[in-house]
Amino acid sequence: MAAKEPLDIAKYLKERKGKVLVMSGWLCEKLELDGRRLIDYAVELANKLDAAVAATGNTVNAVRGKVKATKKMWAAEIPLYLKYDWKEPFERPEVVVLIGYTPDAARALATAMAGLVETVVLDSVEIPEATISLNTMTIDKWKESLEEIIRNLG
Amino acid sequence: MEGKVVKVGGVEVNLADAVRDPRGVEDIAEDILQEMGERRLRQWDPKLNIFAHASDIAEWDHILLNKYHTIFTSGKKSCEACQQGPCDLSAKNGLCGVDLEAHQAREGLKEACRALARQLTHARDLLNYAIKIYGKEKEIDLGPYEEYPMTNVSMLCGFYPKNLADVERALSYAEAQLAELLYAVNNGNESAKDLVEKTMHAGSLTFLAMEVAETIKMCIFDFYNAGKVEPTEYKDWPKMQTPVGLGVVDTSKPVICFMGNDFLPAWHAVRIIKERGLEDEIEVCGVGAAGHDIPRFYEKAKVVTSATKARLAIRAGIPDVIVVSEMCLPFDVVEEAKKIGAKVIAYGYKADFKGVEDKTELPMEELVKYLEENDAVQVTIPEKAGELAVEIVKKAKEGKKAALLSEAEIKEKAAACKACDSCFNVCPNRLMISRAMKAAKEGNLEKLSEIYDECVFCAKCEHVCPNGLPIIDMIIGASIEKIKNDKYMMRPGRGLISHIEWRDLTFGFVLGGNGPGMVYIIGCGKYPGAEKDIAEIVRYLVDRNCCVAVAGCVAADAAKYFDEEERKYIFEKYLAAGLLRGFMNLGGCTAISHIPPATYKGTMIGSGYTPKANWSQIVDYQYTRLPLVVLIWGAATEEMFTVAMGFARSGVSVVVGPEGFKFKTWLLGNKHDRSKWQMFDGITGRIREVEPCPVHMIIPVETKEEAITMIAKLFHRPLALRDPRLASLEAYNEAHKNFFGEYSDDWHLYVRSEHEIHVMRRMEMLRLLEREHGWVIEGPRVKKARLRDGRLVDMRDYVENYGIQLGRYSTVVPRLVIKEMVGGAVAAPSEEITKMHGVSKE
Repeated sequence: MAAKEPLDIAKYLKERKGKVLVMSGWLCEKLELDGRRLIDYAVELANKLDAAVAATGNTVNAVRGKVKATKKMWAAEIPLYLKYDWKEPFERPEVVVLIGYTPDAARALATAMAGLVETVVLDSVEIPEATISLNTMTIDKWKESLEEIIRNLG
Repeated sequence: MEGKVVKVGGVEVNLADAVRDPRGVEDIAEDILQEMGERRLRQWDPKLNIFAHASDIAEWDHILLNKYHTIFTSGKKSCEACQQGPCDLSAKNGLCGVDLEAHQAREGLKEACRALARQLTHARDLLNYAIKIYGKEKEIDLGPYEEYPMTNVSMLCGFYPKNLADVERALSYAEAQLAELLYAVNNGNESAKDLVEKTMHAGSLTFLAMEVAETIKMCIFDFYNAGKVEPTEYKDWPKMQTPVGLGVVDTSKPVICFMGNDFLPAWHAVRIIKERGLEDEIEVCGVGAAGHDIPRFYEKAKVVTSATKARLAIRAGIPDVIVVSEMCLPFDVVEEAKKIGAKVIAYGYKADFKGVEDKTELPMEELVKYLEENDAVQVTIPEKAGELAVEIVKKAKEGKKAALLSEAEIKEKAAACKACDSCFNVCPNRLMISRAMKAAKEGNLEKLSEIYDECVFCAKCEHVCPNGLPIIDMIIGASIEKIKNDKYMMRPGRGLISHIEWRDLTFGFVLGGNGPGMVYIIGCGKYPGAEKDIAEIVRYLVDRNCCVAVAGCVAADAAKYFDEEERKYIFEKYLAAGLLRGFMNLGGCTAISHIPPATYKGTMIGSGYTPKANWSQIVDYQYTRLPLVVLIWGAATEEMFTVAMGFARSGVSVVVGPEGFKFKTWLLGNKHDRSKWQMFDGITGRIREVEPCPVHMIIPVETKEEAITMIAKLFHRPLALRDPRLASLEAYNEAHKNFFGEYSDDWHLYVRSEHEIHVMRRMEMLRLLEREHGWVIEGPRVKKARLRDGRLVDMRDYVENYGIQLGRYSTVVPRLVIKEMVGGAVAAPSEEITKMHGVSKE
């Protein structure tokens, strides 16, 4: 089962600090969890993990200058470059955290990246195709889970 | 195999060398060779794919699939395709030998076969009907401005159909191909690549099936057809006469609404309405494919919405009678109709609905009585279905129920929401319904009304709601004003793009001009954002000198823009012709079949090649030269996946919206891998490094800004001439900078000289080339440029080593390197050719 509790996810990510890439998808700009935009969670998460952000959709504008490294990227190209030629301004990751993608997109991306990197999907829907994901949950619980993960990253 | 020898001028061709098995098609092959002429036959050996099997186009498919990586997205690791299964493929191959990649590729082929089957049966129904009425000798006449009729057929079969008998021969071939493809779905011995080739073949066959349907519509049923209209009229033709939207239907009158793929009952209903003088008494409207077909033969028809929003049209209480045929996005029409008391006539043998009885044999009087007493009836004869709709509609209106929830009802129902967010977790657009319910409970319906703008009315939310809330009805009830004001105008579909328009376009963005390219937008609604995004994409592209054409349900959504300043709807804001800054509606979803022929016309104008069973030759030309991109912005239906694969095979890149992440296969190029971006100098056979373009053949994107930027990037073609190169690079740079606040990391790969950078940003870009890429710049000139291997060279060396000299004949197909210059002799070094693609010249 891919689904894990927030504390387990935090522990998993903490152990891989410095080897993580955060992918921020278009929903990061669209969704607000009771006043806080999803992109703000993505940024905080990246900073706690010392991770670069592959900003897909239009999210680069909201991420630029807020994390150690970021670049406008195209979600579908990331599995391709992971497999063949990683020539980005940040190191090839071992773990990719996906946040702000529809469940369908997250499933497809996790499938496309299977065997190349480990994938962690932080959506409110369980994604069995990912290495790890959150359980399916309410919006309130999702917000709590994201905050719990970030809090426990130190 | 010994074959007949054909003499073309001074050249002799053994048919067995040109066609894998010429038996039974010698006449077609001979015609094609004569048409090719002596000069071409001296230049290269012909390979004809007459009545092509998938493997007959392997020469081209291999080139494509060697260049582009197939990314599979199906997470299914267990195969249950045969009785030996299930086999877990995550660690090892299945019992039949299938591996995980091939299994994933099969999933795509399965989808493509289903889509192809739907289009083939639709085409077959229409063809059989046409033959029944007019006989097989009925001539195919698409008008004086269509010189090359049915080129989807000719590309696969080798001939232009002259009559319905020819059309039937082509369609029978396609039906047999479907059987072959279906066999492959369960055959374990094929590689993923073989299966992807077959999926692309299904795409090409889908165009053929759509083309058969479209041709019958235009030739037999007199649908609008640009081939019969004087080109000087195109700029304002067809007239802006079709109302679009939920608010345009006069529901005080009896309303017949046609849904699904089949227009035949509508055609007969309209005939009867006209005969009886009822045009002002009965409203005729449509949803989806039928909705876009009817305005092409009835000027009073109205388009309500796209196929994906058919449920919305019903729930909003618009129809009194629904005539439905097979649907691309099926749902329980009868159950939905019951909610508003509308009557359903299920037309055809395929429109089988649970519990609906076929009463075709009843006399009309009894049929009317039966439908008065029942919710629905199945009728398989179009004349009868159409007549029944007209006969019953006034009585049906009397039995209608109130459709919309009142404000008080919405509040009361919202109070039952427990905010479990099951709805949020299944919503394709991630709409926060529970938050809107909370506001509604407190008397604020505004948030529900906001959801209306992005809701695709798929009803997944209702399906999973543990309290059974009628969420869709609540959203609609909160948006009554929006529904009333949903009123726009559009041009009905015009059918084909003529040869004459392509001559203009060729000068606009191929041979010169300042147009970045041509964009075809197709699809079935269900957008990631609001409907109005489509119109915004159209405006952005047309305002930047693109030519844009729409086909399918997306046309009605593109219509949803009104320029307050100019007091014009979007379809009247721009010229309706195939010109730079032109914006055309081709028609319903079968009109998608006009797109590949339009590209073949571009090739014919530029090269003189005739599109008859010579796939590699035609597609090589358009793939390397023509800046054409298809955008599928909405639903990732099986049809859309299949046509996307077909477009890719035709050398046309496809950008697909976020729904496209569900496509079973993406075709992506790796810009970093220089070994993939090479071409042959067509005269010497020398391998040349070229720009990574078109960098992808099928790519999903997330936002409309990404879509526009990727389209601009995919306009790039290695053999584009200087002015089109400038236009496409500027389109890419402008979009990337404006939308993402920075230039891309690869724009410099498309620069061959300072002349290709737009004058408005030339100095800025030259400084960037100097600072970030180590080029040497003097004033407004590039003195030295850096090759991709890192060498800094003067411009002469740069041009010599990167890209193709402007106007020089070049190709990606080894066979098409010229073997003999007419008037001279140049032999191609076959070793290099073999090295490039692993395909020998022979």
